[in-house]
Amino acid sequence: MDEIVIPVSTAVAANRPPVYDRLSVAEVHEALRKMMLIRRFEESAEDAYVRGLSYGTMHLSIGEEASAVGVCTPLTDADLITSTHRGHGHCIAKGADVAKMFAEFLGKETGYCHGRGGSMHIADPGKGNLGANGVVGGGLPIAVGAALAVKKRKLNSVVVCFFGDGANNEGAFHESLNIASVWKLPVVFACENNLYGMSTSVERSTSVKNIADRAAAYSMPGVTVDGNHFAEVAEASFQAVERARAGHGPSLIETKTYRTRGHSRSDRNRYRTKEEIESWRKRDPILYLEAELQALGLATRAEIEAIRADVEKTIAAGIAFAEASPTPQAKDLLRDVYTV
Amino acid sequence: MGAATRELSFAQAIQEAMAIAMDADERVFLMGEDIGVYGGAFQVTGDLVHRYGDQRVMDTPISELGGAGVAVGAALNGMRPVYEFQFSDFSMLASEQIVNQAAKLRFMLGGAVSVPVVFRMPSGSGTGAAAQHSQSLQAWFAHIPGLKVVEPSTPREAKGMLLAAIADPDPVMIFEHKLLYKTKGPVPEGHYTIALDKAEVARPGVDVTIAAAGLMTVRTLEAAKALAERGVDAEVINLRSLRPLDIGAVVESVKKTSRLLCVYEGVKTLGMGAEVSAAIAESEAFDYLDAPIVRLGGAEAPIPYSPILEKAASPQVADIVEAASKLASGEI
Amino acid sequence: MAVEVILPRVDMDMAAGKLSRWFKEEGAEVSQGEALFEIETDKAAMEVEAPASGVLRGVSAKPGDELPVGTVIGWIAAAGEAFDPAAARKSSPAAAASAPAPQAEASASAAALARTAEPAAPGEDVRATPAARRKARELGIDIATVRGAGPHGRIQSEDVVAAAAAAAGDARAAAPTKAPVAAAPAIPEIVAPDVAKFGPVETQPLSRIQRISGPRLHASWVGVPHVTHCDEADVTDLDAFRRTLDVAAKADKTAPYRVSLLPLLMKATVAALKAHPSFNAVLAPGGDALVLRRYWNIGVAVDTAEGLVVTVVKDVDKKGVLEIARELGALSAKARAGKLTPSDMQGAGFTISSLGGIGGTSFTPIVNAPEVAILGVVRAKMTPVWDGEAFRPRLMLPLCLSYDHRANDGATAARFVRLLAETLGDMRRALL
Repeated sequence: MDEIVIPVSTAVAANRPPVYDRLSVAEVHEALRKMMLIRRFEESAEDAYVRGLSYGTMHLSIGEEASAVGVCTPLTDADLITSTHRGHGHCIAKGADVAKMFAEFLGKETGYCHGRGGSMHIADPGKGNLGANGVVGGGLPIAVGAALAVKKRKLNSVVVCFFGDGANNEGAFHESLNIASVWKLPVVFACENNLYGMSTSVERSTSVKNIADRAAAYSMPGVTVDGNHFAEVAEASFQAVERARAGHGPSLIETKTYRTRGHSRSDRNRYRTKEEIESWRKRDPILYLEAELQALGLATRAEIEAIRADVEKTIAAGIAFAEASPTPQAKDLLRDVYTV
Repeated sequence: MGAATRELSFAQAIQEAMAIAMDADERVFLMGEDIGVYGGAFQVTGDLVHRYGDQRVMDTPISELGGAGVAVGAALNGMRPVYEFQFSDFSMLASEQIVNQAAKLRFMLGGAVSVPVVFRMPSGSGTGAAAQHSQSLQAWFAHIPGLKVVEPSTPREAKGMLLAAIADPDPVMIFEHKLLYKTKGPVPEGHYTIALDKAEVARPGVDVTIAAAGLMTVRTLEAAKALAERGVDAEVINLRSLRPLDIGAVVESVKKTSRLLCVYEGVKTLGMGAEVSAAIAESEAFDYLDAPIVRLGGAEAPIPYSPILEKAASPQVADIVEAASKLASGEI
Repeated sequence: MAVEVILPRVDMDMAAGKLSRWFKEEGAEVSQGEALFEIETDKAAMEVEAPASGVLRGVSAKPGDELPVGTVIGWIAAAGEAFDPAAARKSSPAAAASAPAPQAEASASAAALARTAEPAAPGEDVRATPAARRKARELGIDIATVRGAGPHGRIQSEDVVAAAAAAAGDARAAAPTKAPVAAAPAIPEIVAPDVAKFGPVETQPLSRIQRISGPRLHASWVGVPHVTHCDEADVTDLDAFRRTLDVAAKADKTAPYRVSLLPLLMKATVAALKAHPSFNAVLAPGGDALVLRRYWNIGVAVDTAEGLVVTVVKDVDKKGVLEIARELGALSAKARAGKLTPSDMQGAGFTISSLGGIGGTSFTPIVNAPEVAILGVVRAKMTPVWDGEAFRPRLMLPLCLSYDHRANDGATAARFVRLLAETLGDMRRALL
């Protein structure tokens, strides 16, 4: 494993990322645990898929863990998120049970969607996760509507809308940002810019260099952060969430990150170079965070390993649960098409 | 029957049609998401971008509404665009441009313009892509006057019907079933077209008429073999087009067999079968019906993910055999 | 213990009968076996005997009443017994004893109908497919009378076709097949206009015989492909022989009787039938076989005041000419008196219809289905016949054989009739 060079000097206190002032040690460990959990979940899901054990396809977010966890760190169960087709990380960051996620992957009755949704449609409303969406940009208007309800009910919640660089060219993006801004709704638009829609780079498709630049067009603050640096992402998120909760309206956060796997399993990566992929792999967000926490004295090697071991157990238990779960029955095909 | 034929896949046949059209007419160009270097989600466009360049094989941003709107504008202004929706489900995002604009401009402008655009898209269920990537929406669009809606079932049809669609002065929507892309069949070389308003008798028979299109035609022909072993001689009508619908072919068939089964993957209610049943009941074939008309359509539910449920939501060969058997034996 | 008097079933397919008259009144003494009352059925009027001796009590039916088979219409109480109708009814056996079924001569079409569903009751909606309705229009059938074998009792096209075939008395209307059954063609009904418009009229009700035989003749006519083959027999010598027999018969001391040509004709017919058994047969249900009879019962049409009735002489092969002549006489008398029993009228394998007493040169009799042939005979006439050298006066009897062309073809029929004619020409041939 390559040595990760942390861009902090030995004058740690002066350069200590401000977010660590907001978080307890336990919360920081929890963030690392979630990122590891996401990584291991994605790797396990990929493994099941290549062995032919799961159905359909999947969109892995390996490499984007800091973005998901960082954005979700300020959130409570009362806050909401909408997610994308590449949403496993968001799901776990928002507190999902990986066992039910695995079960959903295997199309089992015990999955989050009882086997009806699959990878792209996992939701966990109990934990404020309004669900992944298979249509790029599909979640944007939904997030804005949820925020409107928050305002009318005089709740103190915030809605985080995850979307990718691809969605920022969807009409829905523009309409959604506009409405959220005009009605001053408590939305945090979190754009995970992993540099490619599917095969089309942001450069070739987006008329601005940074997606956050578009915020100005809709009269909201926009900030671009290093999506692979947990602390940076989390700090930006805290600010956006506080602004929303204070009733000052929406913000746009752009996390620049990278997916080291293809768009989906069938991606032959013809649109990017091996060098590019490799260079991002060196900036692995988990290894980065491990090094940073150790450097800041927020975690020891032993604690980190203990977290890693705990994650392994959780993953193993989740897979076992999923494999032992019952498959749905054809006679239940029409269940839940309607509430009654 | 002069042209030689060779085996091509459904996807290859479509690609060949596009190349032939672009060679013949510089107004023809392709638009879609990931159709360039990526080769298309189902590898239909393949290496066309290397042969024709990225100005004739254009990657769009993920903007179905915008992209389809651009195609309509180009078509109004002298071009012949072929726009690929990555999945038929995503055509929903472009409904406004398809239904309000492309279908109606010529009518609203009193015939002063035409919109020669082709929208083609992978359609249907059976790949585990779940509810938002597996729909069969052809009946929905076939409801709109001003649009043509077609469903090829073989590689030969895929090429001939695309070439016909590109030459057509009006907007044509082509629904290509995902499970057909890798199927192979004889395809004539060179340019030829297959009419977009004529059904074909894919298999003659006397005991029961089965009307189908696209993948369902393929499944129905498979079912017909099993039915023949049971002593039921099925006549299979491959509709090819939903709008315009060649109901005459179905009428002639029902007058011969007295029994009709409609097979379609789209949701049963208000789908192809609903239209064909009603049209037959209104036609002279009514007095020849010796049993109720049966519709075997998709389930009244979004397409589920788990394979058991996904299969149950779409007519399978065994379902077709069972329905046709019961109809032919007088149990229905 | 009072004994029931019930309206009995006398015909196999009888469901009801009409009480036409009582021979005894309420309270009269009756002896077992004595004629007690008379009933009328489709086929004949019939006397019913008293089941026991005693006193007739509790009479509950009057002449003209149409009652289901098995109905209790009276009681025979023991002499001196106090009769209590209510008590008697309570102790009556649960099911009335039914009369033994007469020899099965049921129409093959009724037996062959595989349907069990009932036709819709009058006034109910008829469930029929469009194709069935169109077929019914084509065949001139009332769709409401068709039994539907489809789901929910739905009438399908093949049900209409089968009903049409059955109605025409077609013995081959078996279980439906995919191909249309060869049914009788549609007969458009001939509806007479109101003829009173054109002049004075008088309405004459058809006799019971006419009402019953009319539809059966119609069914035979429509359902059987008829051909009539005509020939003539030289009966000069035969008639001379007959005359001697007749003279002796008239002079019989004990019971005078007559000998017409008919008994001789019957014996000659049996000889010809033995050589050509396919004329003494019926078509099997399904239409793929002939059921040859190995018994020779000949039906003879007898003219009565009410119309033509066919009486049957059984086992003609076993009886002598004179015995047959006496039996014919007895049957005629019974027929004229209206006393024929069902047995007198059933079991014929071949029918002879003689109009010889009246005259005529030829006619085309209607086959008495399910038989496959009928011989029509008119008056013998003295005719010049060329014998190779000259014309001789010979007594020639015209023979008109109508036959079912499904059972026999023209050549076979011609041979059969020729053989019959030659046998009549020289009765010694009947000994062969």
